[in-house]
Amino acid sequence: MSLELITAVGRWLLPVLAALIVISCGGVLLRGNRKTGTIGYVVNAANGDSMALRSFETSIGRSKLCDIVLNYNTVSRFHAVIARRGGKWILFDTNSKTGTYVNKDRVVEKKFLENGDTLIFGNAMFKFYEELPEVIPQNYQNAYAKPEQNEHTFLYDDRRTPGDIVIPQMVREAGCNLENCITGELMEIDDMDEILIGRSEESHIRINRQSVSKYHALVSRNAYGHWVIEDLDSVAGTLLNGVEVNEPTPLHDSDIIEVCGYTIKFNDPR
Amino acid sequence: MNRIFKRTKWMYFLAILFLVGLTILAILFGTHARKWVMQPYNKHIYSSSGLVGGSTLYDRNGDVLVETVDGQRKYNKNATVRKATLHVVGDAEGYISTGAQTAFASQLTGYDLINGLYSMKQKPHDLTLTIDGGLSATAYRAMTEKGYDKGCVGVYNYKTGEILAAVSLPTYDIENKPAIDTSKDRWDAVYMNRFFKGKYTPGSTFKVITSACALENIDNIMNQSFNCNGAYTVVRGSQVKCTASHGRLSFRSALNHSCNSAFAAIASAQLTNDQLTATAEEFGFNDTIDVNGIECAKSYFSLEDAYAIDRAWCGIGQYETLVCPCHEIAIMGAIANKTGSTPNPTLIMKTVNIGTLSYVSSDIATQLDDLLRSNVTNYYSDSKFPNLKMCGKTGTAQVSGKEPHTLFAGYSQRDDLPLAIVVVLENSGGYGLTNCIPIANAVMQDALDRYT
Amino acid sequence: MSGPRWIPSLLLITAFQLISFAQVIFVDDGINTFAAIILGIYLVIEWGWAITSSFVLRKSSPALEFLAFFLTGIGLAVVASKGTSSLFTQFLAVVLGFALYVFMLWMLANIDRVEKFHMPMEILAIGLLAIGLIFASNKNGAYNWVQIGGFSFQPSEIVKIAFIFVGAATLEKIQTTKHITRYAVFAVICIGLLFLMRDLGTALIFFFTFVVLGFMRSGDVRTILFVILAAAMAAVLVVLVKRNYVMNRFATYRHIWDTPYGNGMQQTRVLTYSSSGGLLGMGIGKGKLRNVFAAVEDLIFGVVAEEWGLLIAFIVALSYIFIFVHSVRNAVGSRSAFYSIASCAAGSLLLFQAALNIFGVTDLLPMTGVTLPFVSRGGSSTISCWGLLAFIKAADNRTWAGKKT
Repeated sequence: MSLELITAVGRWLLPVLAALIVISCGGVLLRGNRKTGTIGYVVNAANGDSMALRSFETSIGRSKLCDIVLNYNTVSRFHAVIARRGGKWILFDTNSKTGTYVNKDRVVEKKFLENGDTLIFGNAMFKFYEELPEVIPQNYQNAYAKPEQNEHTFLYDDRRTPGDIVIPQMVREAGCNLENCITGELMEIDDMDEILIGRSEESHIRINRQSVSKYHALVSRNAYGHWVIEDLDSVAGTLLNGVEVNEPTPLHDSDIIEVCGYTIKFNDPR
Repeated sequence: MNRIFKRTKWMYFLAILFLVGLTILAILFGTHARKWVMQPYNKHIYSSSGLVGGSTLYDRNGDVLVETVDGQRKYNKNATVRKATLHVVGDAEGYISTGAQTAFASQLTGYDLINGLYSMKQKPHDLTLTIDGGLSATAYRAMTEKGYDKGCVGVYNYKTGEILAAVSLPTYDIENKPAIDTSKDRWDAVYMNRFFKGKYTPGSTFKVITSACALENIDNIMNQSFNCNGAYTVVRGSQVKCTASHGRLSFRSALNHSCNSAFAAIASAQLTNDQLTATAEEFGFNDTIDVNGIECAKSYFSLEDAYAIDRAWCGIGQYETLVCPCHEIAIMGAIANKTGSTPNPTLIMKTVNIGTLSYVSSDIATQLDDLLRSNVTNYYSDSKFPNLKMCGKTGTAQVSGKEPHTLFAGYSQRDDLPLAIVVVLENSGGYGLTNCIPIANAVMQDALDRYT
Repeated sequence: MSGPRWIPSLLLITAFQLISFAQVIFVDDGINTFAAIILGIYLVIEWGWAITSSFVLRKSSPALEFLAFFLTGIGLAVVASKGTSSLFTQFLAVVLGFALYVFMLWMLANIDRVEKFHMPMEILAIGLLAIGLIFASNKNGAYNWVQIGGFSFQPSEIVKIAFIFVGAATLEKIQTTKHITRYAVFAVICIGLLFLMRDLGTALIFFFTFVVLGFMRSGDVRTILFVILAAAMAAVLVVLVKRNYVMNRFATYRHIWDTPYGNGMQQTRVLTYSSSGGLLGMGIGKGKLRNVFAAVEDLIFGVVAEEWGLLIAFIVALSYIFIFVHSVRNAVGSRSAFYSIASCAAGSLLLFQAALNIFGVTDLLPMTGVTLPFVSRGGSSTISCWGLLAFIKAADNRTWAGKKT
């Protein structure tokens, strides 16, 4: 009797409960994974583009099937994978022809990454950050980003100092520097012997304008260790405090160097 | 990995396919469940001994036609009633597809889509049929006592649509089922209820339809006269023979005497293929009647590409035309009602919304009613049908290679006996007048005793 | 924090199972104590896991396990109503399957550990199938059962897990081309062995899973179409060579009503009895389909429809869609391509198997004799389904909430 009752009630109750179960569980199931968000950055050293890493594994290569497509001849179709595993970052080289480097060390199969490491795929260079640093990108962007601003900003050559592009070294006692009068950015020069200004790529201060000669002017130390400026037979010429430089001229604090309208201030705290 | 993430979108296609499949399945269950349930192997409904659940079938008088006693299916106590109602009640095994136990299984089981067969398990669903066991037995006796072994008798209330008898021969006693070899002529189509599923050449009974067509299309038909010299020649060399040389006949007496010459003349010379076809289809030919889900045989009529001689034969019911007895009785009902329409035949008591079969205008129906009554008063004689105010038409249907079938279709005009009857005797030879009318009278007299 | 948000769901499941189990436990001549104990333990396991996973292991919401528990519970109740002897083995299979689930969650947690298991899994898969082919005994025309001692099991069921394990890969593995050819060879061997066993249904499931894995790995639609085309041509070749065998197998498809007492028997019975139950069912244990051959294995969808009602049968079918969609949703944003691919593959495998079963017994597809995931009786099948579920759960990042990612 009670069995009949259970059946009679159950056949109405069970479908209702079953529907509620599937709805309540199914609702949760439909939600799926939370968005990963940005968990790291790869910054292109050539143009300053920063690419967010939004998944735990990111493939890099020339193929369109890769997450980050690098259209360089020296990059293999499927070159490398950046992965986050157990809280650590790992760079895998996936049988690339030209190799993958982390801070000049070639990656054999895989290598753990640290914040700020330099990654080289073929000849394309990148910086890896877990979070975009506050200080560096500003200099970065002034120096490298937005090619249309090149004519108003300095382009520091990075070739001679790979891995530390903007500031060659920490400030030494003297604290001499060159200041971009437009942007206010500083270039510490204490540990340098000469600073080439010009249009050529090996210039330390590169001003990418047609009117600027490839080897336009040179700031260097004289025999006494004082900084002097000389014009390197440029077409447009160089001005120091409004006067044309005809011979190596010593620099003093707050001197203004002018190259085709671009002004650089020499600072000597002493 | 974003590339891989994007690929997952394609996977939803599989879920959609699965959903489509489920939808198709749900639709199939919705449309086919009833059919799927009513399978002879369904152990919820049938056990080896018949319907599970003990549903009982009653006749209109409350007599048990079949019930379950101790897990066994028990039929009516009277062997004659059992034989007379065999085809209506049906068998548990489902050989007789039009039998109530098979055809009305869903009513008997109380099946519905929500509860399935659950409610059947709780309480048996009984069903009362419109059949009168006693009247059926009378019809059965009337046929078999004269030695007829194949045919059918149907009785139908043209006011309510109830079928009171549908006796089909050959039959057998289901409680003592004989060995049946359906390849033997003795058992020819034994499992078929001839009243619902039989198809017969109508013979002279079709003259009712020809008359209707003539009344509809020929203005002065009632005033015309016809000369019968024993045959009607359509064109040289092809003639329709008559049963006698009737001499000069009015339209009415031509129908009364069932004069082939006159009707062949009317059909071939005065009516067209289209007119006859229109009237026949108006009367429900080439259509089926649905009796509580039992689909009756389709009465067939066609005069496509027919010549005058074909039309002449058609006019006397001897062409390709075929009629189902249940349909014939409905035609009688439509005329008897004088409205041209009649309630759809039904086998289950207290069926609501049974529908109406509308065949012809009330004007034509009234005229046909008058003509059919004159058949009896002028020709068959009321003495053949005492106290019945009977109307009707006999027929003899020639069958190739065998004795002809004889038929009678008629009805009583009595207000207290609104019954129509059809009698079909297969390969009986002779005439409807001599074969069928005594049987019709015996059944109608019994009905008169029972219901007045 | 998953919090106690799962409690209403589990309460609903508990209510559902108490009512359904009661119909099994209270029999005409008293109480089925054995069934009561077993099903009681089952309820304890459900609550135990829910509490452990959310408070001790701090995993994400156990909704996925709940749905599997819901389906498994229906299967257990059907088996229990069929007879207590098979209830014990089925319950044992559920416990083993669940243990495998927990073990696989642990194993899958660390991708390095997964890498280490790669090769053993390949060997295990081919080894099991080879053993199956050599020692298998014939059951219903397929040589897919191995009898060891008193236990019999289907190697192909366990190999499903290995098949996905080997087929899924981390992104760096995918990028080395050597890897995919090796997997293709592995897949061909597996599917070939299944064909030799004449386990057509499972071979189809493996092939389908292979296609899904291949697509997820390469995203190359042309290659996938090529593979399917090649398989179709191979199938045509098989049909031409072994014409009679294949024709016999598929002769009944869409013609079941021609032979309701012959080859169409199982499907016609499923349709008739499913319809007999109506939307609400005849009551658990009150059905007639259970007496037909393989009722609680291949035909269990019909048994559920007849006894529990078409509504619940369709809700069961919908559960597979939810599990599948969850597997796809989890694949996005998982911690590795391995999890994404494995999750999609496991989800589609379960959905495909459910489709083959449900549409097979109802004659929308040819009947291939595969089980209904989680619900059908069958030790290997139940264990395998729970193992596959771990792949889906592992792709859920929230599974690892509280751990450093």
